[in-house]
Amino acid sequence: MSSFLNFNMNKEIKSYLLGFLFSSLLTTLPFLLAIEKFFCSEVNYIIFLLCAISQIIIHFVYFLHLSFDPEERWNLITLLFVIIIIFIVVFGSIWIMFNLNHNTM
Amino acid sequence: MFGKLTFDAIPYHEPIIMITYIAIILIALCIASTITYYKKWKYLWSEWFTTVDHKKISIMYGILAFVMLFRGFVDAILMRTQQVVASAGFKGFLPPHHYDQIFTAHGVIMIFFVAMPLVIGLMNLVIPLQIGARDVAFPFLNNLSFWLNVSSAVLLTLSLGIGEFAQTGWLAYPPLSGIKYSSGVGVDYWIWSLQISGVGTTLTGINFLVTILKMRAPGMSFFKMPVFTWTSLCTNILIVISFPVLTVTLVLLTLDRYFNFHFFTNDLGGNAMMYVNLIWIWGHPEVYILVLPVFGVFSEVVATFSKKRLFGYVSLVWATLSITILSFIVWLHHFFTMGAGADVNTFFGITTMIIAIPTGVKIFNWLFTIYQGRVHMHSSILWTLGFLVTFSIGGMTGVLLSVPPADFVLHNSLFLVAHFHNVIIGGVVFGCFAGINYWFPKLFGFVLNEIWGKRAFWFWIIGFFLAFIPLYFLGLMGMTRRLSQNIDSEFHMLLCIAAIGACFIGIGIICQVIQFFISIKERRHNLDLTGDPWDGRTLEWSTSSPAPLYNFAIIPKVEDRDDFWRNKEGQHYNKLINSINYHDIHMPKNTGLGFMISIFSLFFGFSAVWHITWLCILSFLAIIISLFINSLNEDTEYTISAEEIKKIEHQYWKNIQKAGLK
Amino acid sequence: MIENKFNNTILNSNSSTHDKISETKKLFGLWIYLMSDCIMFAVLFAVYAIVSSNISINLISNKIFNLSSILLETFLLLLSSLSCGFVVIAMNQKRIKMIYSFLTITFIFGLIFLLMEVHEFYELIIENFGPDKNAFFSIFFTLVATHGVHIFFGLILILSILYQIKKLGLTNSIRTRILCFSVFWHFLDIIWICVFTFVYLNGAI
Repeated sequence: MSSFLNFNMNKEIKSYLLGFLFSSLLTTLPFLLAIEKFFCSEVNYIIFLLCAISQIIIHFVYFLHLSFDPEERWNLITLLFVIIIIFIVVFGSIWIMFNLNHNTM
Repeated sequence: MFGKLTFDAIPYHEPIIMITYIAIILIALCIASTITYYKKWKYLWSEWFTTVDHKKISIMYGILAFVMLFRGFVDAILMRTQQVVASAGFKGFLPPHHYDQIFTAHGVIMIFFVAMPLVIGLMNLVIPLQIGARDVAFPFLNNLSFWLNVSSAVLLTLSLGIGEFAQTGWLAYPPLSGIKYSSGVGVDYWIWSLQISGVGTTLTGINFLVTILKMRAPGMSFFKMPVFTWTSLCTNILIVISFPVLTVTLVLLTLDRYFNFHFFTNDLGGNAMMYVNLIWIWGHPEVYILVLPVFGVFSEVVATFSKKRLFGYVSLVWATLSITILSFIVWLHHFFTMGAGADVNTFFGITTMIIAIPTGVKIFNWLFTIYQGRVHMHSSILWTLGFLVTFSIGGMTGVLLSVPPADFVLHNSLFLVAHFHNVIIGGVVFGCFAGINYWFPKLFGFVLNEIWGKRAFWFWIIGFFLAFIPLYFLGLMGMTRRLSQNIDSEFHMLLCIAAIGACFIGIGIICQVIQFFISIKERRHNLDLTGDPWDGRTLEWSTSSPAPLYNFAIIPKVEDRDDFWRNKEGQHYNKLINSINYHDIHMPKNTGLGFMISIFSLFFGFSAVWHITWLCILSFLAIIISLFINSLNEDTEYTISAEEIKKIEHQYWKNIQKAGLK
Repeated sequence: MIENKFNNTILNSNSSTHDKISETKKLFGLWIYLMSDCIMFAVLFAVYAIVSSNISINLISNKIFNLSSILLETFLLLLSSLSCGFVVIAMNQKRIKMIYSFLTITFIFGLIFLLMEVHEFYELIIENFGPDKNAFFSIFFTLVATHGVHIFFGLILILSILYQIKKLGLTNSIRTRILCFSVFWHFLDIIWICVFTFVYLNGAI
């Protein structure tokens, strides 16, 4: 019984520590690039974006335990749906607001 | 000490407002003294104000909606009258700054305090009963949402007598609603009223979403849910996703007005069009929030009263889901004329046309359900038929408006006004009335008087056509919306017809009031003993009327769509009632916390409007502290014993036998 | 969510399934609320994107975005997320003293983060870069401050949970609250990732 408990505990602690480790790396890297400006700004921008997306996924998987398990499934589905809506709202707004100056350009 | 509030805030020099306000205060005092005379305050508090029972909360929502319907309708009569008078060459009795407040208040009241409460009230009543649950997921939040809506309605009513209301239209576009051009308190009243109500509605959305997703009876998979539950699910998805946009947009406007930020100002980088963009990202899903539950009501009504299974259940579900998604990619059609290029306008024009298709699918499904059914002409079916005709016309004018070049001519004309009243009255209002007539016995145990119900319908539909079809013609003739002075005399004739139509609608409302009074008076002759007065198909009709506090003594096991109908047909209800094993049921206790938080919110909103900083901070702290104190209270449930349940259920079975069924 | 794996070993009595169902509902309800919060932040980010693409480059400079202090703030939040995770582990093991310690650590990290942010705002305001000076600063302050306000309410939640455990012990409803708080706190860290990427890092290059 106690070994079963220990096994579970280690799994949870591992999850948080790994998540922390990956997140730290994915944080330090873009900051380093921004401060030292190794690349040109377009490349920097893409690296920042990739690091951010990966770190967000790391947070969801390791800290919030999001997965395809039946218990977590609805959380995942609602999250994906909201992400789609966010894309529509954000990029739609940017497109529209940019385009509203159309007749003055 | 009192911020901007002084005694000058009361509009002494405006007789119409003073008389109205005194009348409101007198009526309130009458009601309060009647309650005191009959010593009913304790009863009201413990049975109604603090209840967490979804059925009672739905009744309270209905009462809120009808009270605010009076105020909104009076606004409408005032506007129609002023326009008739102004188009005959007279100045009229409503100066522009007053008229502007009236049309703003009319829009806000009808959408936020009539349509939303009606729709939320219906969902509140029906969802738990249809999915076989005992209550919603968060009964306390349900109570809180209701009281937040009430306190926001009270805040709006206060604006009539203390200060002024916004003069900007129901969506308050900047820069007009910015601090420079609306330096009074009107727009602030508007902002806080919508914010408080918005919080309540968002909580409702979360509540119902969790309820439908997590509390369905065992065996009720998604494609076995009744259509009303499906449409409610989609509605609540829309609520949860769109109301945050409203919250943020209002916050941005608030920051502009209170702290001189520059989101929507004309200078220093502000962009007023951003407000228009954001507010319609909320505004368009909002109208689908109003109309989707009503589509669900009609689905239930046609199936029950045609004694036929709903035609095309699966296509109805997919139509609802596609409307939900599509409602997020059409919002620009509300501002085609505001500077966007042809590519943007075309994209949104096409998506708007596409969104008409699933609605058309639904209309055909309902028609095919009625076709070759044994139709019983109950007033609910009358409202449905009225809807089918009226909403189709309104929908078609919507498709007409979705063509950007046409919209360039018709934007903000009376054609637009006619279109949206067409779909909202023909859709939402008719649907809510159908739903009320349909589910009334489930709530109260007796049916509504049919004669007056039918009379109300005919006055409403004739009144609607008289009041709004002329507006289509007026719009095409060039009359703009929100006019109150110097109206072209060419418009006079049609405006008179519209005013007569409004009177017909007024008579319709009076018929409904009479219907309620007579039904209550004759209730013992119209008892619903079986709990199933219309020979219904879905689970809510398997409970007694009124439904017991716990809804279902035994949570039902569902095997198919329209499971109750299947059980009746197979006569599965011939059980030996003595063989049922009843268990104790845990029910949540009543709580006064929702009411208290809403009182504090009212103070918060009022003091925010008048910049009474100390009261604002104090009321906010009061909310936090009351939540904290409540969190220490672990005693939140009580038990209904199995014997009590047995007694209640046996009474129900006795009633069924009394009614002649087995 | 952070499911209590211990529940597998608890005997299935009526009241414990009742509590488990209630906990599932509350966690899911919180998740839906957080989804609506996501939309709120998305709108703010959209406004930020629109406004910042409209202004001239002169306004954005290294004077405004001090990357090293933002790096420190980020690590403070990350560490607080880690200690929040340990709070949940301690709760599963029912070690109340550990819960107290890690909750306090989370609180301290969060508080320092907030104080640093307030200091940053103060510096900007005295240099005439306040929110009433230009739309760009309006949205910058609003976006970052909205996140800050959420952190603030998280801190209040920590204090109230600490008080509740002291007064009532580790009851089931308090366990649910701790789980809800930890989901909320992790979510705030995710939003912060978006904030420092799209506002600070993008602004600095």
